[in-house]
Amino acid sequence: MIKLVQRHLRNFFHRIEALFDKAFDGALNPIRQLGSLAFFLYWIVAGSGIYIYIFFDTSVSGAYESVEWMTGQWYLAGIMRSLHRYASDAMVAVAMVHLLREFSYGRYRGARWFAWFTGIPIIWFLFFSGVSGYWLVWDQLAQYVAIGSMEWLDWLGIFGKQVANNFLSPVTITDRFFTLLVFIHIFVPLFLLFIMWFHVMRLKSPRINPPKGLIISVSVSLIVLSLIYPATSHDKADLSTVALSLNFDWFYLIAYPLFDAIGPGPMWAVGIGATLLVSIVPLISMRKREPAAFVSLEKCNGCTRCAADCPYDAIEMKPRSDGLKFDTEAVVDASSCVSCGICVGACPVSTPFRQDEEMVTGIDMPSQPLKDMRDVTVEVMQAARKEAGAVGEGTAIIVFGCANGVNLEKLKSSVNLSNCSVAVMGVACTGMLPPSFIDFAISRGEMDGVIVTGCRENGCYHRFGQFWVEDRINQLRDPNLRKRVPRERLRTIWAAPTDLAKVASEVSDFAEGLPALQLELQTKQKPEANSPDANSPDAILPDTILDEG
Amino acid sequence: MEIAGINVFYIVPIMVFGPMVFFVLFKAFGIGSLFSLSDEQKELQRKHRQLKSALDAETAKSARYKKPKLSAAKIIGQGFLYIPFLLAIGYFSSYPSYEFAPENTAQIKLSLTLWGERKIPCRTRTAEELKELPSNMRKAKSCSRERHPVTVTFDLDGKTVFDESASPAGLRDDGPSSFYRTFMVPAGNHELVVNIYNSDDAIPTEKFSQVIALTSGQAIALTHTAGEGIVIH
Repeated sequence: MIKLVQRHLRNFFHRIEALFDKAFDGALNPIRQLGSLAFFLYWIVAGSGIYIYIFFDTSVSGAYESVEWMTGQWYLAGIMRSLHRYASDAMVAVAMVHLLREFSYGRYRGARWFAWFTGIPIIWFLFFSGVSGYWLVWDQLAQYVAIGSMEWLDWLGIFGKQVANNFLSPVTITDRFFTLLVFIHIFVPLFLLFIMWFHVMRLKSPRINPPKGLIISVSVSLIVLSLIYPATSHDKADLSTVALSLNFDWFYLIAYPLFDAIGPGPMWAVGIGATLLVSIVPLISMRKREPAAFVSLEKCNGCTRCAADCPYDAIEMKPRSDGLKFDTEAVVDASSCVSCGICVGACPVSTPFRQDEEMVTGIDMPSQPLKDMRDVTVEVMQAARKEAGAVGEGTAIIVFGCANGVNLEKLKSSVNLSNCSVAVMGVACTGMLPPSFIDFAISRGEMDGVIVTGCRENGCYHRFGQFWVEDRINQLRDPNLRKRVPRERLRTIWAAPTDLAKVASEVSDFAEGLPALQLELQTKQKPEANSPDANSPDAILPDTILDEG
Repeated sequence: MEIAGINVFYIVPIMVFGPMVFFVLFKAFGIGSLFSLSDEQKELQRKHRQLKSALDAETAKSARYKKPKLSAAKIIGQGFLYIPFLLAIGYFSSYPSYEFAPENTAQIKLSLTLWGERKIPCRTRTAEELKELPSNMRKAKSCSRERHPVTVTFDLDGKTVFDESASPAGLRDDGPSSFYRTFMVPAGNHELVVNIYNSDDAIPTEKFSQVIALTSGQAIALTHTAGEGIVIH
């Protein structure tokens, strides 16, 4: 059941993201920046809140008038008030979509449970922050919200005296109690920020600031909304009356009508039940956790690349423990490892150009060891080459794809080209693919072309895998893809599972262009016929790992 | 409350956010570097900046920091995508209205904090008993802490709409019993009758009865004070 919901939600997000990609060009796509947007909106709320607090009167008698004065100053304080409200509302919307998206992508499993779990109190504190802000306007809505909130809290019976009694009549509410509400509205959001920091602390380089372009467009949008439709108040609160109809902020107050309908006890049951349900999502849909990466010290020279590339800070460089001459060694924290395999792709020892049977690398994945990767790659390439015919006769290409991109088997059957055979090879994340495999596929596997495909641009399931692949190919990040690999024979396609037809079409176009390319390359290589590069790859690639460095 | 003529509630946020602002100014914007440094420190800073800018330039080439390609058409497209977002934020921040209660309705709140009778009535200590007690504990009366639960009934226009008992607060059952309930009633005249039973007796300890005229949207509260009994606010 959960899987079905997830699948539909995921497909929904894939389609929405595709729509936004058309206008926002990948990195600026707000659907992929929901977490950082929530942080940014928090800062807008905090900044505008500090400003309006300067003019806010903290007494019961003066609070409403001071807010009204601010509303009247439409060009500054009024904008700040509206920004404070709309950014808060947007933060709820963004946080909820963020939660749904992470759920649909299953980003709560394994080591990601921490971010999921710490996200739950964020929801509570976010609502508490917003609701406590509504009290301070001290209009009819504030009166309704304050009384409802206190009645809800009173049900717990932990305050001795009913807190709601402070709102019985105009004489029972005091300035002292009102200032307590002000303090709550200051300290709860501060606590919220503290938990937000907790939420991302296990991530490496968490995105807590959206790209500049998004900051500008979101800010401008909210300012425009504040000018066109400024936030206003109801009539001043009067405890001798009850407001029968209220203009409601549904982002924050959605629970209150339910509270009115079912009462405080059942409402607590709903709140706690929903919290528990969301908390146990990682347990309900638990999959067997893939074993963590492991280090083979005899092949680890402490180069730090795996630690630098790990998106989850699961690898730490520690002083050498085996007496070898290197300073450090990689140590994997199994509790933080999500088995993405990016460390394997980062290890310079992870190369298929070797003859030793065991193919031990510096860091490896038990679920898909490097040796298996090479063996399967060789096997599928041989089959494809055989099907396509000899080099020059037919086209054979290999597609390396990740577990969260397009379905590779479906892709294989979707590419219908005569005289072209497609081999597919899946890895957990494209970042797991050592760049030497691309070289290997062309030079040893006799592939006419190589395609690397994974999640949509800027939407890598494992955060950085896609970036590292691009950087390794472009020789910006170690281990680099060697210069001698003709980049014309290589293509990266970043796409979601819903983009199967588009990817199949791109693969077909790429494959169709390859025969001519092959001729062109042969022509280009002729003058270098005597150079070692033009000969058999075996001639220039002694089977040592150092050759790949 | 004011300190040096400034409301304390303006000072608190300054104390909380002030250090943050200073931190940002000093660290992120480098205000701290404006203060005079030794030549050696300046040289170190220069080298550091050089290295950092070289590193930043290298990092900026990464696919991770690839600059988005924007065109006029894309910016217009973004505008169109922001419209539903802004409409949703603007609309749902105030609408649709919530009808808390129908028109011509009034509210009656029953909020009573009542002390039940002591389970064992107080008695006067004898002179011998007082003599045995330490001098600081020689109270003339000996009273049990535990109190009876209190029962309250509320009749509205002759119909009992509330009949509940509440245990005394506190681990030793020595606090007051509290009642809180809200009733929405049609506007107009209403007869309110409240009976309070603060012991096991079937006869109410206190009785309150009053006819009251309520207008649409009016809210009244029935509370209890020791000297006056039930009072309508």
